[in-house]
Amino acid sequence: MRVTLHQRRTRTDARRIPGIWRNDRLGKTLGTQIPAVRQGILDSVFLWPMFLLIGFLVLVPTLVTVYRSFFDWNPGYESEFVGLGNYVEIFQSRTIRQIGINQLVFLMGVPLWVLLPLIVAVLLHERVPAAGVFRTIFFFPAIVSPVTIAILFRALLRPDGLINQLLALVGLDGLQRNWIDDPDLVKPVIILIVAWATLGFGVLLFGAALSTVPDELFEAAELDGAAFFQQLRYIILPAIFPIFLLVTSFSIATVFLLFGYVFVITQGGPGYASTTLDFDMYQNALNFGYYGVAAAEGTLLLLVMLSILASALIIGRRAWR
Amino acid sequence: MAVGRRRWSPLRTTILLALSLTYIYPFLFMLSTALRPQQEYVNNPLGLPRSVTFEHVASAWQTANLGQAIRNSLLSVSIGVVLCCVICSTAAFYFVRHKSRISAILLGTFGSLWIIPPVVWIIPFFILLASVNLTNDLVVLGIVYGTVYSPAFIWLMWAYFLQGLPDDILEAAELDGASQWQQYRYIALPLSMPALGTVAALTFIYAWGDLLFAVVLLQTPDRLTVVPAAATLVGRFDASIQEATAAAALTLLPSLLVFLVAQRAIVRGITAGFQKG
Repeated sequence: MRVTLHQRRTRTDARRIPGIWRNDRLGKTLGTQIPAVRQGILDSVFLWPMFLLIGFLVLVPTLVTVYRSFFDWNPGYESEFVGLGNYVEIFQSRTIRQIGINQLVFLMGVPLWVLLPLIVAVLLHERVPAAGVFRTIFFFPAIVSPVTIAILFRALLRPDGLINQLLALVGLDGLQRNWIDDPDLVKPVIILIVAWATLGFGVLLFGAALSTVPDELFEAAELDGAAFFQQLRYIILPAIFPIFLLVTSFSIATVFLLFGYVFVITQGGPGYASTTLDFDMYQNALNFGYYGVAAAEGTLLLLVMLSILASALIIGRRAWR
Repeated sequence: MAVGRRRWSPLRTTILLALSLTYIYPFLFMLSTALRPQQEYVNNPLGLPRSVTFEHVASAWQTANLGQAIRNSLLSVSIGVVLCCVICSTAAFYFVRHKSRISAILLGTFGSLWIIPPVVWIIPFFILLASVNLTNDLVVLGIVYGTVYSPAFIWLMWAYFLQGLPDDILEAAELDGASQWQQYRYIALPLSMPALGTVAALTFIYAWGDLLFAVVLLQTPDRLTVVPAAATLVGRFDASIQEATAAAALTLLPSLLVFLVAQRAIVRGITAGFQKG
């Protein structure tokens, strides 16, 4: 093997420094492969906090959920193996149909959750004074607990709350509704609240992506209806596709992570009109004690999330190639 | 670039102003409802308050025992913040130092674990804790906080190390005989303070705002953290809307402080790797 000047110099230096013997990469260059396995174990100390905590708190309990979904799980007592019994029970219950419908309706929120921040980010990108102030205002709900947001919106959406009073003020009394307790309205209302709360996050990501797009691409940007959306579709979108994909995957994942909002705004109600899979799992386990059924629901939820992740990865890889 | 392009677009500005009103008004409404006398709220709930009273804040504070709740929150959240910084910085340091296939797979796997919905694993974890009598424990809650938010932040630290921690520096230190620990402690850690600040601020905000872990793991009222305490107050039938908004405003305050201090770091952290320059 030819030894370059640089390597030879490194080698002479290295002989005088004991620390060098601990470096596997340099060791390889110098042809002095030293106990690689022992070194690997020593270095891996840096991974132990991650392995121990995430493994013990997240990975192992997740596997327990999957395993126990095949049992009539009674924590603390003997649990009987029931095969796919829990799954059969879930798919035969009437609640699951309602939950499936709910999840599909929430899925329709995804275009709104993605396009609204995209449009706002494009609007903010140029020819707007104090864009940073606007960004901060829109981002603010992202740092607020969903619980605080829920308390706020429950107050605003009460029958005698702000929204209805505003409608009365402009003479549209006929549009007044009981926004949260109407089974037809509760899902769109939650979709809008989530859109409101997550707007700033999307604006931030899209805004960062737009800053990498050359100014020339915005040359023709005039805000006159059709041209604006044409430009959005054919020029801006392709330029920032990776971020678009990222925000879309986040939004699709959000459909199955609505627990925080549902828990405080509606408790799944009225009836089961806004119950999501994750909220039903929580209730089955901790309120009703149906641990086996809850575990089966958790397993289904896990499969949904993994397939979202997998499709995002596949589409992303294809887009980058 | 044409001179005209720098001019403000009135249409854009109007749309954005209208949209930002829907963001400002709800919070103003919350503040004014929490701070105005009851009579005034009944007569004109939507307008600005003419006089200020702290009676609703005081009664929310007492009914929900918020003094105790704030102490509980601070304990568990600070454990979470420290732990999250430890997990993320050590793991990210390892992944930057070892660019093998295995470490790429490990980073990909552990970094994606945020996708597992917390309800899926918190229930068996709770059952496990119950069997060793560790429920209702604020330290355990803090450990959960430190762990659950770390997968996403490992990416953040890793991206930061890739950009801000040139291999040359570490290799030079290695030549001078610095062990991995010394490289981490004296080079990587000091250089990554800005990113750690982002991680700490975001962990604080998320952990402070958490409801799920607190309601599952805590049982007695004297252990409740701030957000579930406020949520219970709202759930009670005798709590007035003014008390509820007062409690909401109180839960918001600490996150607001952290946001004001760390806003730039938070924004930079979230957009790391996507931004120009």
